[in-house]
Amino acid sequence: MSVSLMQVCRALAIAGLLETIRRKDLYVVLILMVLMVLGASTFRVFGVRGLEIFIKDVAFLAIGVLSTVLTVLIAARQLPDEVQRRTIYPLLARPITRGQLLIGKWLVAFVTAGLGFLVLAGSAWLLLLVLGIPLKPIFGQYLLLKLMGIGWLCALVVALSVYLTPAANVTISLILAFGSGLFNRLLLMAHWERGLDALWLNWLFGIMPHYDFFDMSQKVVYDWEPIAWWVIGAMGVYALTSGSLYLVLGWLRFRRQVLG
Amino acid sequence: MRAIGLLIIPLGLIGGVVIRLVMPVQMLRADTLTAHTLYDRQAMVSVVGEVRSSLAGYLWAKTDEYTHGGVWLRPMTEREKRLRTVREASSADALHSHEDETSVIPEPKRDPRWLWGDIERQVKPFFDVRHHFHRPVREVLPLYRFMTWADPTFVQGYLVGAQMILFDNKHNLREALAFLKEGVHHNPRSIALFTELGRYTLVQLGDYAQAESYLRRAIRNGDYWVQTGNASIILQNPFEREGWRDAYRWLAILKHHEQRFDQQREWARRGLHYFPTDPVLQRFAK
Repeated sequence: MSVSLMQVCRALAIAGLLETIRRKDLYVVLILMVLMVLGASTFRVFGVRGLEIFIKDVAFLAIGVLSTVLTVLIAARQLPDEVQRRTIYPLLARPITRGQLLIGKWLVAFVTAGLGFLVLAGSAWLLLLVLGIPLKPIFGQYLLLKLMGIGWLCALVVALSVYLTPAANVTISLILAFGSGLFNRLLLMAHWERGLDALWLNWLFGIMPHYDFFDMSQKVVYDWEPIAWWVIGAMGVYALTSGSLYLVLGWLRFRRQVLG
Repeated sequence: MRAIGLLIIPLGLIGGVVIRLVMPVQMLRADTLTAHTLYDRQAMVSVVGEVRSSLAGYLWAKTDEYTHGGVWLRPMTEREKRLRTVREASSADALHSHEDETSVIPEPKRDPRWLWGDIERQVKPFFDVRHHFHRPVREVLPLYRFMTWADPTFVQGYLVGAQMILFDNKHNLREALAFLKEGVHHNPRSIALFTELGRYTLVQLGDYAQAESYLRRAIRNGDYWVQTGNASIILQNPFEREGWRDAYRWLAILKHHEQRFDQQREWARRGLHYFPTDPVLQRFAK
């Protein structure tokens, strides 16, 4: 008797969320939120006139870094923790495939990290509002794009967790996430300065991770107008295809992996 | 959670003690270039010094980003300067000069990335850098305030900050001068700050006597660095180097306006001793 993917994902997601609450992972987000409140309070003491851009800049920088680190840490331990605690055996004893398990773990990571990001972003939005610094409508697009990025990043990290040890996975994932902008710049400079062919450049560009393209925080900070929706759609397609590819690559290894 | 709550109290106490210990170091004035270079060159000498200078440097880099609404500019490469294949940034409001600068994100015409380039130009701040306008100066003023609080020895923060205060509103001369005076209080051996005070006093207030006093102090500071054998080090700082040169220039100009041409030539010749190829000093030395 096989179980549908939807049932598997729902069951794993609920179990994963309960596990996250038990491990108090989201408490980290709450503590960070408290620190943001305290930090914002000091600005109220000094008055915020003229500091709007600076406060927004710091707030969104903090959200970006914290949500990325949180996403990587949550996604990186989904499968290794199950293997280490040997709870993966009773899981696989059920009528679920390894592929379904992989997708389920991705969903747990995505929901948990996404929730953490929304809590951080929501807290920042409220704090800014209290300080008299409203955000423009582009903030909604920022949330949507960032959630896509988190889903994409979860897929990458979960796939890497099948190939690497947890420590190596976290390190490489953080480098790929924070360094994606730099890699892109280097490719462009190689094209202009060293004559790298445009076709090769686009090939490499397609392979390289583009986590920085999911981050519109700078446009939110400087109150730019909302972007064209085709861009959001294009990034959604990229997140879906690229993330699916990562999960497939992870599944190809995971299905034959000897566990334990 | 209880443990975290209990941990906060001793952490708060330790933090308070550390702050009290650090405050004298934080407020230390760089009376000597030795202390200055130690903060800059030996991180282990002062962790506090490195933290504050790093923060000031970070905020300094941020000012460019703020004035351009998040758009990043970069220097052109030698190849780009030679072939002129990129759009050179130019300011439409004379707030900044952008010699040999272009945008980090390329314009569509020279972007080989097809759709990726269009996406990046949408999700990141981007505009045509030719004849661009800047955001209101008052948005970036807090950064100059913060960077000089973080590192009172960050001379360029005071110099450019004072200029921005005046650029925001030309009636803010008193605030600009007060900002510069705060800078000289923390950096009594700075050349550039006294030169700038002299320039504002001469050009904006027309107070020749006071301006001369500031400019002479700038030159005395320059002589101090020479006597202590540190002239080469101070000349490595472009702001101090230009301030030193400008101190002689402004004194020559001041004497020229007073029609004291002998003194004009004397100051110009003294300046040529350190800046032999400067065309302005050469003209006033004749």
